[in-house]
Amino acid sequence: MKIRVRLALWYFFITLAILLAFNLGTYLSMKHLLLNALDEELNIITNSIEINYNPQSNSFRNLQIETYNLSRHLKKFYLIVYDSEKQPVFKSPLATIITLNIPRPQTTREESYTIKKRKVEIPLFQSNGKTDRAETIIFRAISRKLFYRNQLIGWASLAMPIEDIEESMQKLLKILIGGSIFAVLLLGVGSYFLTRQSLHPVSAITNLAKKISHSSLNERIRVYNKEDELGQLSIVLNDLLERLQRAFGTQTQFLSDVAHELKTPLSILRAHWESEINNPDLPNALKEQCVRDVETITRISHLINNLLLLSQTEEIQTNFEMTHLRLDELLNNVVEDAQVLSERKSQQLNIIDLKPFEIRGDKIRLYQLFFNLIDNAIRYTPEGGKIEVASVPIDNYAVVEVRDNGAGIPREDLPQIFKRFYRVQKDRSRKTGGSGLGLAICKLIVEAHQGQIEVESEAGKGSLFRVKLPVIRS
Amino acid sequence: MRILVVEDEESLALKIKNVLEAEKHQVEVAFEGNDGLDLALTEEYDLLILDILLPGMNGIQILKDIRKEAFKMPVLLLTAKNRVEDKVSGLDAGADDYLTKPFAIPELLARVRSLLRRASEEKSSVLSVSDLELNTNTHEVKRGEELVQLTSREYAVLEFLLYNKNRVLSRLSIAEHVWGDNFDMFTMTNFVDVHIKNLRKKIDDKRDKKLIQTIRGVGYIIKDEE
Repeated sequence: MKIRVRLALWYFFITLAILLAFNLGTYLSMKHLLLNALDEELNIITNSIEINYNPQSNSFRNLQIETYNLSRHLKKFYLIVYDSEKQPVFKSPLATIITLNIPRPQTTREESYTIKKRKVEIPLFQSNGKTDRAETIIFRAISRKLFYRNQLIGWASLAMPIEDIEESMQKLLKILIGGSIFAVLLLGVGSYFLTRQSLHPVSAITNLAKKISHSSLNERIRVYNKEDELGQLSIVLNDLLERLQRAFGTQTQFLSDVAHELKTPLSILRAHWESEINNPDLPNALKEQCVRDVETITRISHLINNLLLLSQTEEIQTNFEMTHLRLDELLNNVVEDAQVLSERKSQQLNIIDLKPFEIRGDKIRLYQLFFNLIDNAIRYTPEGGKIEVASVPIDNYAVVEVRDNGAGIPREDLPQIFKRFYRVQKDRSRKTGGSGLGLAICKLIVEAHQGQIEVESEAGKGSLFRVKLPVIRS
Repeated sequence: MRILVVEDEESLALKIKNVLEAEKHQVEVAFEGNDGLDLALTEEYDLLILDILLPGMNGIQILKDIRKEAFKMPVLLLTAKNRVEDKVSGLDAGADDYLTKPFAIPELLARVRSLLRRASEEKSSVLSVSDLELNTNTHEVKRGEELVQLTSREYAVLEFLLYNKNRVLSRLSIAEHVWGDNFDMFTMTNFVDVHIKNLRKKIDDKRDKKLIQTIRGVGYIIKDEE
């Protein structure tokens, strides 16, 4: 997962968890506070009943008046007072209509209270003028033993509907949920933009780094803020690029200098030996030696050229002279030249399909490429063998195939053959082998033309080299 | 013809001088860029052979200065670099031809002859040996009165032999001239043998006088007299 997404999700979930905990806490403590206050009120009423006990008559004085006084505003007040014989001695009007099964208190002197829910079947009374549409009414109830001078005189069950509290709690819940949803949306969008904003320089760095290859080492990352971590990273990377560019430059210059220094003495040697061929005073045997020496000197200079070509990968284009050319004409020329070699080995070298293509490329290098491939096929195919050349379109590419029915390439050698100085068969004889750079150079030439080269082969059955080059659309 | 060679590598410069003098040219040599430019501007030459990397002043700069002064003589550039951009900048500066080190002496001679021939336009564009004639404009080849049909490769081989008339050419230098130098030695020498064989069939077969001769182990030569 991307850091940006991960960070956004972390932001989001942590803030969400804090938000939910806070909301839950608010809700629960609010409810607790409200119920506590109510319980306190109910307890006070019970106290006043207890105070009004008359031991002489074993009854409660002013019970009716007291209770109504105390809770005038509470019309849905539910009260049953029991005497010590467990007989109800007083019932409030509500208690005569419905029965709330409030359990008898078990502990002495301690108030115990519970919440009861009841479905009210009779539409009870109107509250505050509006019709009560709730199907259930929730009561807060306490039940307490009553004492007179430490003597049990009975108990009271007291309950009050708490729809006001319920209603407030519902409202609070709605506000909290609504607020949370809003906050979550805001949070999601916020964390997305926040991480994007803070990681923007990182993606800028990544994009540039992707773009930078050995050919564009002169580009630099833009530093947004020198002080922050990403700014520091950019500076470090730029510094690295700088050194890399310098290293590449030095290497190229070095190679070019070395090549120049090597070629100058070689050209002197060559000029000397070559002119000796026409020296009438020299015996023929020595002239033959001169020719062989010139060939050796030339081989060295070829090697220098190839090494230079293979090592200057960062400015490969400068070694190529790109022009528009007809690939089919070029292939015809190559095959015509190569025919000389195939005829010597009584091989059949045929063009089986040659579609006209116009491509952009270096004529000499492409000639070298295809000649190398066909020359290889001739070398590794026995006398009387068959070599076929075809050039057909696939998508926007010209696909040139060189197929032979010769020795083929062992499977284990296939991945290696485009590597420098690699030779199949471990065969380094001058007769069949060149410098071992041939296919490496072929690959380089193909790549300089934005093409691809691949090989299919089976030992003993032959090989197929396939070169794909982009064509110019007419 | 007067030729100026500007080349800092003394030994190579003198070898070029030798070879050109053997061809009956008058040759002067400068080892430094500034000297070369002075000579080129004060003396009259028919051809300049300029190395690019020189002490004092580089060959491209010399070439530009000469052209600025409206000197029109042909210029052949020599260089150890074979990068396309060097070649392009050389030709842009007004060079007529370009030779990459290490080059073959016959190649140098052929280029020199071709440049001198082009410069003196009144001269005919026909190369000949004995009764063989090759027209470099029309690419027509005649042996006696008979027109000979050659492939483009055969023509190039013959033309190179004729440019280097009476001089032994190694198979390597012929191959480099005709096919370029990007090939394997073994392949190139093979090419030359096959094409010489075919050329002989076309111009020497059934004739008393054989023009193309083999110097065993060395190369080929085309000669006027036996």
